[in-house]
Amino acid sequence: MTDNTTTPRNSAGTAAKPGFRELSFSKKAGWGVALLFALISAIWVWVGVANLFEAIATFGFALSGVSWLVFIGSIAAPIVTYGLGFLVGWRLPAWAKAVVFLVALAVAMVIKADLESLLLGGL
Amino acid sequence: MTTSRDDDALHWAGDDDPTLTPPIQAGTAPAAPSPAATSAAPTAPAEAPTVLEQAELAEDAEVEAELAAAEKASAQLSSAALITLGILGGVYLLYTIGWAIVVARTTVTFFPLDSLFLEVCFRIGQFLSIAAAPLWFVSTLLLTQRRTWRSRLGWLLLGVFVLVPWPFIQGA
Repeated sequence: MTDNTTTPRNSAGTAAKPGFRELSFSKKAGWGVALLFALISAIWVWVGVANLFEAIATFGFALSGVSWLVFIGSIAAPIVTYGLGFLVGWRLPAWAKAVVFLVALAVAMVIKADLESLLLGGL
Repeated sequence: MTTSRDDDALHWAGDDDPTLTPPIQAGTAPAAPSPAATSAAPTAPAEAPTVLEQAELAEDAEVEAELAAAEKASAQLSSAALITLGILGGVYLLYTIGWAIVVARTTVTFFPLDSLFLEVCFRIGQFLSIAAAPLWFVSTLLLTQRRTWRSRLGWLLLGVFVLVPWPFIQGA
């Protein structure tokens, strides 16, 4: 009985990696949504990296600890929230994935604003 | 041939006269809710309830139980959940207002906005930080429709912790 249950699972596991062309349309749309929001998130990651380099070019490496936290956090926030959105929307349809990724991006902006308020103080 | 016809006629007449099974059956059916009691009782008298009638009775009871269970489930959700949803919706509304005030008060940017591209990114980020709370609330309600009430409440509470407008709290 264990042989019967394990062998199909193994065969399915080895054959469970079809090419992108063999995927159904809904899965293709889901991957397309994931790719689109990956690019959008990458914009903010790139902006964060550019800001970090500019700060290093201006002030050198003698930034305070809070500054490092803000810079690194601003770079990491879109990546982390995108990854969490990827996990949450893993089994959801494409439109739901888009909603989850949009919320994840908004949360990344919230985290960025929280971090920047650490340096700027209360606004 | 004639004797069998006579037997049939006598049979029908005898059925009607002494026991009056259909009224008895109709009287006991609504009183006892379980289908086993109603179906077991009429089988004892000779031949009144056919298999078809028993099946119909059992089906009716099944449908009624299903309907009652569905009504009970929906009633539980609407009664207990509405107040909690209202409170959480109010919290999310306050968060939205707080983030809008933070964005409106922002005059100094932490990062320099040298180019139009950076400016546009900054504005979109500001808009998203205001829209984060309503987006989280609506999308949670949208995506947890088929989940349990506990997971829906858990996601909403997680949003309450994540989306706290810290700049507004610091400034206030």
